[in-house]
Amino acid sequence: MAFIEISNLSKSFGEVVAVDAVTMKIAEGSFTSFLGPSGCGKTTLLRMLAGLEEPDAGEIIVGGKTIFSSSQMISTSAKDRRMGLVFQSYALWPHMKVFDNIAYGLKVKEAPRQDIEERIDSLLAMMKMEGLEGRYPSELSGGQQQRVSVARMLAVEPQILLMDEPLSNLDAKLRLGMRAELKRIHRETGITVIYVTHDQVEAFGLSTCVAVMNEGRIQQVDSPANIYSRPQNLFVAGFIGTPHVNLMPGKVANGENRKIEMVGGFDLTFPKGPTLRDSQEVIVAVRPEDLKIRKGRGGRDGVEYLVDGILMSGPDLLLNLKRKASILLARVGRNFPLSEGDKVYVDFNPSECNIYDRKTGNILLA
Amino acid sequence: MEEIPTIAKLARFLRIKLSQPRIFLGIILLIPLTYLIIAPIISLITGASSFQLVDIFRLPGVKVGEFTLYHWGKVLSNRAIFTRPLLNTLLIGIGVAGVTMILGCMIAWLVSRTDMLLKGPISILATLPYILPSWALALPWIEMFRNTGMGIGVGFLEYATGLKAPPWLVFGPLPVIIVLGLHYFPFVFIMVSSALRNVSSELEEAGELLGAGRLKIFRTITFPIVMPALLSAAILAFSRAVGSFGTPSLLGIPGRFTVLSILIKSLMDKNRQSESYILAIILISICAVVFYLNNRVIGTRKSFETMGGKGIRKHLVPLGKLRTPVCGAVIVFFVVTILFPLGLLVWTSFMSNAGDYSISNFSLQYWIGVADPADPTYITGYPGVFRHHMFFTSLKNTILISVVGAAITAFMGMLVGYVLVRGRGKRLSSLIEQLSFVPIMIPSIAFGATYISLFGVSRGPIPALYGTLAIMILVVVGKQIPYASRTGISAMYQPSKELEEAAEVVGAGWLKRFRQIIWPLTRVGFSAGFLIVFITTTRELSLFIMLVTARTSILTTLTFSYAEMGVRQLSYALMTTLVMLTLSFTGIYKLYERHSAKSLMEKGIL
Repeated sequence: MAFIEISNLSKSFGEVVAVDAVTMKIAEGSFTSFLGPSGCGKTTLLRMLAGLEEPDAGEIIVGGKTIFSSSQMISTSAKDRRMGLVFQSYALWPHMKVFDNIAYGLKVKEAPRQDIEERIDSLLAMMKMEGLEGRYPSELSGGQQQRVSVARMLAVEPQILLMDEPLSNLDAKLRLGMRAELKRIHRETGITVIYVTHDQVEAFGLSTCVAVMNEGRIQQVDSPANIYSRPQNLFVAGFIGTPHVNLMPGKVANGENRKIEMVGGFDLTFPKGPTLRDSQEVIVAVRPEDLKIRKGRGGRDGVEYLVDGILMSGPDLLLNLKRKASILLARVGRNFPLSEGDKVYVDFNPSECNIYDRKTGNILLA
Repeated sequence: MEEIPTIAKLARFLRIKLSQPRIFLGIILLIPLTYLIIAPIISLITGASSFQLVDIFRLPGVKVGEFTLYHWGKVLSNRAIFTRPLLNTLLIGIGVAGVTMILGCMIAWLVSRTDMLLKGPISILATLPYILPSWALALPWIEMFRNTGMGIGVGFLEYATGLKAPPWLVFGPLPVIIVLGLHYFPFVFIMVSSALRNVSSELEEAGELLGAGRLKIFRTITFPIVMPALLSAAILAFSRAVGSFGTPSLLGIPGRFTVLSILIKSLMDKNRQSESYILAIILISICAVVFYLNNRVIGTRKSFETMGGKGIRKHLVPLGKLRTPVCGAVIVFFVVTILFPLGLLVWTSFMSNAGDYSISNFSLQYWIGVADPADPTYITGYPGVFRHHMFFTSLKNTILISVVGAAITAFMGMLVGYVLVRGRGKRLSSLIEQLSFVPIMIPSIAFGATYISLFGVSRGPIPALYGTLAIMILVVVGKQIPYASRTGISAMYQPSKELEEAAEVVGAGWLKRFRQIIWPLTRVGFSAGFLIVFITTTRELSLFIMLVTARTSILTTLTFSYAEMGVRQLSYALMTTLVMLTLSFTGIYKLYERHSAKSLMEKGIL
């Protein structure tokens, strides 16, 4: 049985549906990220787990115990849920020193003074913040405040640690360091982490499991690798990856043989998979780095494209390719000898692309 | 899934809802808000529309409490107690609003938009009048212009120049409007100058670049942006002026000029409660209509007030050659209208015989003299302020009412602030918000009348409170809730909601969260609310004049009673004391404000 079970959880604010019948399971000890554009309902979902927002409907079960159920009118209050929440703003109490911020939860539980001190010493050591317990939050750097806010939540030994975009207020360099720190803390404590972010690099780097959300719904729950290479629908395919995926409209020429004709001039035949409907409208999705670019035709097939623009991104070059009305984005090594106006031949492996139904947006072949 | 009985479901539902402090406190707050604001208004209306005990003797056969429109007919058909006072009241209200708008705007513009000299001291002088009791300047007005031609003794003008001021200058609508206008113009000054400060001169320069002339820029850009603030301030001045009692009584009655506030009090004194209540209702209605129109006219445009912040650049209008003369004129104006009158008030309180302002007439009789005929300093039969047992009783009562009233009000203001900030947009919060802002619309004198109507007789378990300090404290709480709520709301915006939520997820119950997280971070707001209510209460007269008795006498009512009797030096000495007290309390408040802002900034909270 899964550790956390969410079923049909919904929440509206007035007319706006923030979370729409979300159902998912989360394994114990996992690091799960809710990933989605802003306003997709990920923070609301997190706050409902924490007990800070009351769902309109649905159920939440943690470790076999129902902590929220609209049908049974059960709603355990936030203070009794044994979850920690790290806020985007850190929400450190400005009138308390670092020590008192971390000790607060333990004091509330009336832990003995001795235990509190030992616990805080070990937490400060884990956070590499020894000697800073006498400072006020305003005397700390952003990264240090962040660590205090994590330590404050870990102090009460929660079952689950929730994090709401905890790194978004840090500058880029610090963010990278803190990412590694969070991963280490997760490893050392073995706690179940649920993490909200709109930054896919962050979600992929940290998580064992990613849940992509849009418009209040879960789009796909999977490992980072699968989310990237096998998006289950067009939204996930388009949302994940920078630069974004190439989406090429096409039509099924022969359903039985899975032969597809594409507007961009390609013809594809998939060796295996279910039978497609003849003349079904589809979308073929290929990641820019999966497009093979050659300067000469050579002996192989390939569709001729014009290099319309070259953008240097650092490690590699991003190419804007053009052929009549169809435009492709490709990615090649930064030493690839090319200049704007060149002709190139484009090709890709059917096993590295995904086919979606144009109407429903759902995946047909992968 | 197991079936749950409806009752258990309801109980769970209530428990979930009430475990949110916003909802729990909101429901708790409804009780005092209803009791202190809505119930008095209802009882005022029922009291106005039913027979009272006194009516039994005049009208045989009627029963006490029976519904009737008898009093309404009587009042509305009477020119002397309805039509004329109503028109006079409107005259005063409009006149005062006009004076405050002209004075306030001129000084606000000079201070915030020109390179006038001495802006700092002038800003302080321009807020000074509001710190004083509203009728503080009425006393020196009379002292200045009274003359033997009117048979009321020599005043300073006659003493110094031999000129006799015409009666219309001494008593009547003109002096009432001037004195109240001088008291309330700081409203307009403060609100308009802060609005002007928020108008980036870039907005005006943009107009200039597009070819608009100065006048056109003022008419189409500056004025529309400042207008909402100006209108709100003028309406506040209007509603305060029509509800004020002290100045119209002292400067109006001797000139046979009556307004509704005077009649509300005098009808009550004559035991004609229902008629007094009816006039109070009319007064409240006038203010309600004015506030409603204000909302309708400026409504959404109020948001201009909050505009700006960063990137505001000021281009000051150079006064050129006029720089010094303008500054001099403003200072002379304040000296003539405020400083000199206050000086005259203090000076006269040291005169042995009224009307003789020479040094040789100097005496401490009205400060420390005793009322003992055997005493050689005995003159009038009135002891000096500091020998007057009523002074100490009144001082004690003033402090007691102000401290207790301010503490309760400020605490309630914090709770209202919490419920409003946490439950923005929720129905319960909107209800509390509307309730707690109702008293702004009710003029003080009428608010006092509502309390007599509710607490004058015993109702249920609550005994009649008339003549107790309790009713005086309650009326403070009821009337000042809007102001305390305002500070409460801004205090509660300071700590983000997440600070409380962080405590909640680590297991703190709501009492703990209040004590350990919210209170330490909002305490400053409580102190600010406390001091604001405390200061306004110490100088308040109109609110208490209907409720006060000899036993519950306070400084303002004591001073007023001597002023009304015409005991010149004693009333001036008392007023001097009152002015000193309010000035020093305000000074303490300003110091505290600066200190707390500093300490908060040091801790990084602000």
